[in-house]
Amino acid sequence: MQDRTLLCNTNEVPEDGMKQFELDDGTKVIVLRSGDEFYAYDAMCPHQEVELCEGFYDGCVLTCHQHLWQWDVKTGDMMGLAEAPLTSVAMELDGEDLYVCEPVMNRAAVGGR
Amino acid sequence: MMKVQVKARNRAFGFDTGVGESVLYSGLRTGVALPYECATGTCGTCKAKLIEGELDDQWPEAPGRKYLKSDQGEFLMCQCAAKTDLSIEIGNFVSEATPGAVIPAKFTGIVGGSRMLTPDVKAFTVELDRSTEFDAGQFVAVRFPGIGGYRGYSMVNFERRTQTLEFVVKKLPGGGVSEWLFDNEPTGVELEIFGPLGSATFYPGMGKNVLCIAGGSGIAGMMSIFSRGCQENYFADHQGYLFFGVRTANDAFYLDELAAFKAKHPENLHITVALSTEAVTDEVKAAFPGLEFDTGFVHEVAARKMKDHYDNIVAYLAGPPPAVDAAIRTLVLEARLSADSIRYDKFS
Repeated sequence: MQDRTLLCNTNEVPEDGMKQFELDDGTKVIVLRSGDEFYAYDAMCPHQEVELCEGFYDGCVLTCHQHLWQWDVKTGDMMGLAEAPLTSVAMELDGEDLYVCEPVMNRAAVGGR
Repeated sequence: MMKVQVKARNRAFGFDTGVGESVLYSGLRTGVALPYECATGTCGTCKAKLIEGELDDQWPEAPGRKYLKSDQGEFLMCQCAAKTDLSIEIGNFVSEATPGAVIPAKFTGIVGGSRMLTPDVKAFTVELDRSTEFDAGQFVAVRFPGIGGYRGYSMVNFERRTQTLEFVVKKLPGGGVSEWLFDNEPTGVELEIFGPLGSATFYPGMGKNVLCIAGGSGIAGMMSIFSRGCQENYFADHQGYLFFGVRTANDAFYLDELAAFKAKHPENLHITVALSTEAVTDEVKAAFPGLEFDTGFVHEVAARKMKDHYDNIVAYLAGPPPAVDAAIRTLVLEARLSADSIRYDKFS
């Protein structure tokens, strides 16, 4: 069985909203809610050292406020001006709790930096 | 001369750089469209990674450094000069300058004259050592003698080819250049200038309605955009909306110029001055019958009055960073404009 770490309770993330969490090792993860679905990504913009939670989210599309890079939250794929996808965080839902799985960031999978 | 080798995400570039010259400026003036926005040390957009060579960091306290991973050798190209040949890496896609675009260059300028627009806003003109072209909405980086590095100032005027640039500056307590400009008569002072810079540009060929939201001295680039639009009769068949935010009516400036734009295209231009802390008096309203006045923060006033007018629009934003951020939020979330129809140059 994979190692997993409790991230949050689903109630902590507002409907069609987002919230940033920090793991014990300092890794920052952003959790976004779209209806009853939850998605987790590296909390930092793949462009610069900017926290995505400072940006805008309408329940489908996440926009970084710094340079308006945008992503489809369901897939992490880039939209509009973005030049790199979001870095996904492996996560599982257990009852009302969200857990992140090890390794947290699967950076190799996004082929970015 | 030293050599800079750039490995960008898509391809490689090489260019020469001089002693004390920023890596960014040397790349831009040789036609390599390196990434940047403010070009003056605050936005972090021009970050690169040093692979080999030695840098001279001319502003180690630059605010833009907060966007860097310095333990990984990242640096700001706008603030660092080469001490040796350099090999650097840039995570973005980099291209050659678009054919036909004006390649930025170094100029020497002499301050031609200055005038107070309000007790804390001053306009000044600069005569360049030779003429240049620039796009409406662009800025130049200006270095004043003896006051640190370059600062960005947007051109207020628009002419196709000119030696005269016109700027507007707001007095900022503790702002080295702005305090110096207000405490001294700058006429005749020699400046170093690099430009033109910036991608928040307007050109008539784009065929879109224009929305400008500006706070304070952010109005500068909007004046240039509206000047060009009026000169080339663009607003005969396109709508132009301009929102200018200031605290009180006494803080407003360029009202005569704005009223003159309106008089040229009364049907299609809609110009609103948003006062954040007071309601407008009847006297001010009577003095500028062509202008509309409203109370509230400029992005709120714009959101209220722009409802149902976002069709086929390009939005230009400038001003204090919190005002620009608030305007972006409104345009993305409420107006649902696409990111590529929102234009601004990040100065923080």
